[in-house]
Amino acid sequence: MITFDEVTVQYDDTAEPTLRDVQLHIDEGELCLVVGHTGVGKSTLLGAVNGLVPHFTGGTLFGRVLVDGRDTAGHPPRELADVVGVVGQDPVDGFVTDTVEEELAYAMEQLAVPPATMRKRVEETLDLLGLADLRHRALHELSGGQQQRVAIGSVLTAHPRVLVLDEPTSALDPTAAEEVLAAVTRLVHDLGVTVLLAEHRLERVVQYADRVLHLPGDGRVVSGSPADIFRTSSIAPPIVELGRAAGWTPLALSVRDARRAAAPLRKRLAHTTPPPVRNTPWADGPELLNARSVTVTYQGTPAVREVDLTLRGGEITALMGRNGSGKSSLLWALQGSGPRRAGSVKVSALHLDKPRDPKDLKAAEARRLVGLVPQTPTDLLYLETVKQELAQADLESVDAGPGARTLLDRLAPGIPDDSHPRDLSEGQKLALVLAIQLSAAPMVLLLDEPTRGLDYRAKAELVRIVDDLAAEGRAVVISTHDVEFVARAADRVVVMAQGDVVADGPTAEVIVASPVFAPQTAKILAPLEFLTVDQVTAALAGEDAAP
Amino acid sequence: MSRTLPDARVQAPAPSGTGGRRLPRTLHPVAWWIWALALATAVSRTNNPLLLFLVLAVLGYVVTARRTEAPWARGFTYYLYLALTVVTIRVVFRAVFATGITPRDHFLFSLPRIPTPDWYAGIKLGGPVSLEALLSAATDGLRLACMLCCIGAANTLANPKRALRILPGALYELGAAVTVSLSVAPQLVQSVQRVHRARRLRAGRTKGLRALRGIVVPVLEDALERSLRLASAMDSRGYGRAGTASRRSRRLTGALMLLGMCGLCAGAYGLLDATAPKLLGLPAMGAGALLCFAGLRLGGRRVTRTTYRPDPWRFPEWAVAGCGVLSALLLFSKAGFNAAELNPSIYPLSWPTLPLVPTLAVLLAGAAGFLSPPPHPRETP
Amino acid sequence: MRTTRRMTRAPARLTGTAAGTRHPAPTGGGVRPVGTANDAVTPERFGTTDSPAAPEPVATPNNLRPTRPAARTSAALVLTLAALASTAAPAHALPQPMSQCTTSSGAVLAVDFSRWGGPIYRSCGTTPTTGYELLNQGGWATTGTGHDGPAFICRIGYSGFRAGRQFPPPEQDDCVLTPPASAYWSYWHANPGQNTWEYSQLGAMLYKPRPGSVDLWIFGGTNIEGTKGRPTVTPDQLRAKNTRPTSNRPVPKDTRTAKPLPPNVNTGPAPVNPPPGYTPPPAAPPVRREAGGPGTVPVNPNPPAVTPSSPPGATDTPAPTPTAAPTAPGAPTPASTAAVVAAGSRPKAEIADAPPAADAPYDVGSYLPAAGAGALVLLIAGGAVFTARRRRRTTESG
Repeated sequence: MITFDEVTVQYDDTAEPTLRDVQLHIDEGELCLVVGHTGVGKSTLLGAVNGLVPHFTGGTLFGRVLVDGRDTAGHPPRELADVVGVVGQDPVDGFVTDTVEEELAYAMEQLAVPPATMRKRVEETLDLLGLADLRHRALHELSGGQQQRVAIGSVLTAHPRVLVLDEPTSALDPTAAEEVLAAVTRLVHDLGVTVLLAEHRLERVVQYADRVLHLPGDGRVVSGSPADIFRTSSIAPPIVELGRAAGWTPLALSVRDARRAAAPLRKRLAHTTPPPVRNTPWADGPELLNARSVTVTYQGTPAVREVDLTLRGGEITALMGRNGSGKSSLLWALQGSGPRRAGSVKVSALHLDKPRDPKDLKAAEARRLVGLVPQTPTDLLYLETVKQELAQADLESVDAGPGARTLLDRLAPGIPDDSHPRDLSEGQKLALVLAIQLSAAPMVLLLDEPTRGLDYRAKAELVRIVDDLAAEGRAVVISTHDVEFVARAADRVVVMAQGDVVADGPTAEVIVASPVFAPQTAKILAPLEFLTVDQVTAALAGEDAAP
Repeated sequence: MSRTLPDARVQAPAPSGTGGRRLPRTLHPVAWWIWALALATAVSRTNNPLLLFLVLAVLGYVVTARRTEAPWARGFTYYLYLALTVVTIRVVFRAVFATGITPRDHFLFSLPRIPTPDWYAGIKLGGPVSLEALLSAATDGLRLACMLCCIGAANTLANPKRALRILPGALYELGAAVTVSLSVAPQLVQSVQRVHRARRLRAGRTKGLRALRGIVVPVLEDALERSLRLASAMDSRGYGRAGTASRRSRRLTGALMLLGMCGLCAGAYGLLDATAPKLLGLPAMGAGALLCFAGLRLGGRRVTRTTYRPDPWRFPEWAVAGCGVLSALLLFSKAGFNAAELNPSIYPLSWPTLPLVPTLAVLLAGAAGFLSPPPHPRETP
Repeated sequence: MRTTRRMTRAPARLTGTAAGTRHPAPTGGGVRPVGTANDAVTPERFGTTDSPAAPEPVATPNNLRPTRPAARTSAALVLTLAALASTAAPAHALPQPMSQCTTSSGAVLAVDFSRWGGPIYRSCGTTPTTGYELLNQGGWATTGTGHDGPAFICRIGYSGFRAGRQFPPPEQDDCVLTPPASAYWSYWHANPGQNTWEYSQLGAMLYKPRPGSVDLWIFGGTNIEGTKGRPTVTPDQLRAKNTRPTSNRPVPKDTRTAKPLPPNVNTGPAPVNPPPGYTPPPAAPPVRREAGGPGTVPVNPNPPAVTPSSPPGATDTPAPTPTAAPTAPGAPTPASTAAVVAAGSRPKAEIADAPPAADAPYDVGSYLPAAGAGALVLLIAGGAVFTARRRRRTTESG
């Protein structure tokens, strides 16, 4: 179906080719998972399939890419639209029309499909993806999962033989991600569509993959069966790490298989108390932020309803919930920059004699109490170099703490002064903005969806960073959809739904009990209360050392 | 072209109140555009404030009655604000760049006079302001405002993206640019709000030139990235497939269209300017139209698109477009009314009259509100 | 750009390089669509305001504030009504019978109505004055354009000609936009002693005629280089030849129907350079010259009648004359050949004196159409509100 013949891709602004001598053949009906760290060329590989690389992105492609017998050199993306369908990370970016039905028909119109056929295919696709009830709805009114399904449907109607999905679930909450992935696997199984899927959160997709393309980072592409690749790859979901730790062969890739394989392990660990995920020196830190009955409304529609929240120093709180459940609104209201219709927020700090409401203070003062890293951290960046940004940050927060450069070096060492902030990787951008916000030395730090777009390595870094911040006595709140991250990083989980807090408690209690939010390790080892692979390895190591 | 599936829209229940006489559907966008442009042309004929207010009322009625619930259909208010701004600016300019006053005029107030240098003697700043000056500026502004609102009504009533579909394949680059800007513009507003709010997080200034940079840079970068992603998505989905056309035929089509457009512009100029050489008028217009037609035919030969649920052109479309065109014709015909009534005198001041035929013409345009089918009722989520 | 255009076409030349781009005369009419487009974009340039003020013609600066549209509307209405009902009072520039103008005092206004079968009317006004004031006193009246305001002279009327009808009539030009360069009133001056016409560099409201000068308005297609559509009469055919006022008739009572300007209102810069050594002519015993009633009595177009039977020294004007002949080659020398031109080449261009007259009566009209239109607008708005309500109900119930 897809053949890469000695493909090398070289962009003008990089010294090394992004892909080097890639030799690859993908058969029809395969679900192919593309894994690799950020910036190793996953998007380039996917883009090369339908000719976006190099027709749209620029750069030079040596060798040949054949899709269904067509050479992408002679066929720009639009001429391959009937063979390859592409779905990007944010579905909203790709929408051309206004309603679901029109969006589904768009590609067919361009391909000159006869109207009668179009009607039939639209109806079929609506049913296939469970969108029939939404047919006349405006696209912007849909939820994230629905939008992503429409985006997939809109390329499916052209009956492509290949579907390319570039991180289709990164913006979605766990439920919506399930929705989308279920639709994708159904396509593979029912229609025999070849799927190329890039995804950071492997735990969501690894069980469906027929084949894994691993990009180790030197321009090569290693192809193999999932069990083979994950045995050695530097990137692995928790289930694989658990399998490696327990020494299963072959590696179990679905929770079902893993539970079967884990029976001896569970027996072995039955009488071991799980070691704590995090060492919390501040067992009972001082109360830093106290919010009472915080209510936020947008044009009369409540986004946050009378939420009470107390944050203590040294505590890491994860804020979870569906898209649109009010997480961001709550964080912005706590910081004082967002709207707040009712309720009170009191923040204590060393330099204040009594707790103050950040909303009543000037922005510069509020920022010394509560720091917030917004969902799109780049909104805060507007200068040409990292050095200028850091200098500006120091200007903005006089006599508050260590310089922004020091902070940045502690968070993410090795970011050169003269690099452009927009050229940094997602993780580096996050670190830069975090350093800018930390330069004001706030004791309460709020992070709005920082894990979006981060790979495993960057997430591990983030875990370390928030750990350090908490160790300094700060209260950290992280809103996220990433269950595995929560399991590793958070002491406490607050779950929101429709603006209400529906659960609030220690991580283990809240997420283990939930089928949606439970991390893979917990699912495999239930009823044992293990959350992370690190806990298991520590317990196993302790057991080995004991006898 | 057999209908294999039932048409869900046709089966949708008619809202109570129309009595099921006409089923809800969207009118062909071109019909609305013809109606609105014709009405705008009619408006350009008159300075009579009574007629202009009547046109505004009619536009308001038709928009309220026939707009859909789509996001682009909620913008008529903004056009009204824009119209108001036009009138205000006209009036303020007339007051500031004084046109002088004679004893015959009704003096209202005097602005301080700002001396202008000799080489600028043609312009007076400040000075006495008369009621006549302001009224004439206001009616003149009102006429422009009415024309603006006509365009606004067309944008509100007809889905701009559906209207773009009639764009011939030869102009697909233009179509892509317009589609991208139509999609990115609302997101631009959102990102401005988002970035503006984020400024406070850095305790950055929210006003002034330096704050502008902090807002403009992230917003523009965001918008650029978004539009690139949208353009690549459109490309991946086959937008602008060349089909069987060769590069040469595409170039030829482009050249023909460009020349044709130039001809049309020159022709319009020639027709409007009485001093232009006669050759520039109708002949240039005709040549331009011919070139455009040839270009469209050539481009159309490589048509590689079909339309999903094409908007039909039936009686309501004829009726709506006809209403607009007829009202414009009536206003231009001078039949049954004195042309002077279209431009009532302000020097000296007199009450405007309400000539019967133009009034009826404007009301006729308003009949589009009844003649077009009702829009789809909003589906509750 | 807009404001330069608000004057006459002429200021383009005056403003030098800045206006050079607008200079080409034949395209004068062509700038019209451009001007319209310009207006359409104005709001964008100035951004939009959220002021929800009603689109009513607003009257006073207070009313520009976007508050209480209803109150503002009624205030504007009351003001308009009051204005329509206001009455007369005298002002400083005065209309005079033609006999009061001399070679060194008063300004002669001449308007060519030959396009509509009329004569070239002459009348006289005191100085200081402006071209606009000359055109708006003693029975004269003008209309501007909707686009440029009153300063752009679009129509001229004299109450003694066709009952004060203004020309061109609305059928020929609706005076909404700037008239085309092929049919507009062009403005010409001749200073004392000069026998060539000079295309006006200033608009009527800005130009201050010198004492003893002639202002001429002709209709047609004129370009500012003067190669096309030049006046066919010479200044000397029109200007006053007597050195002293020739009539002892008292200045007629002012006939205008408007209140005076407030005392502190400055209507423009000081008058331009009076002739060197100019002193107001001594009050000489007026010579009765023509039996002109207050109504219109076209003078015999024959040159002898027009050329006053003045004393021999009458042609000695204070201002020098020598430049006149060379700059207008072929132009007849003053007085002697005026007869030839007037009677020979343009037999139809009669010259008639236009004595100060009462303003042509005009009808302010009835407010009933406005009230009717208001009712109609309200009715339609009511219909719109009703439809919107019904829609909302349908949506909510559905």
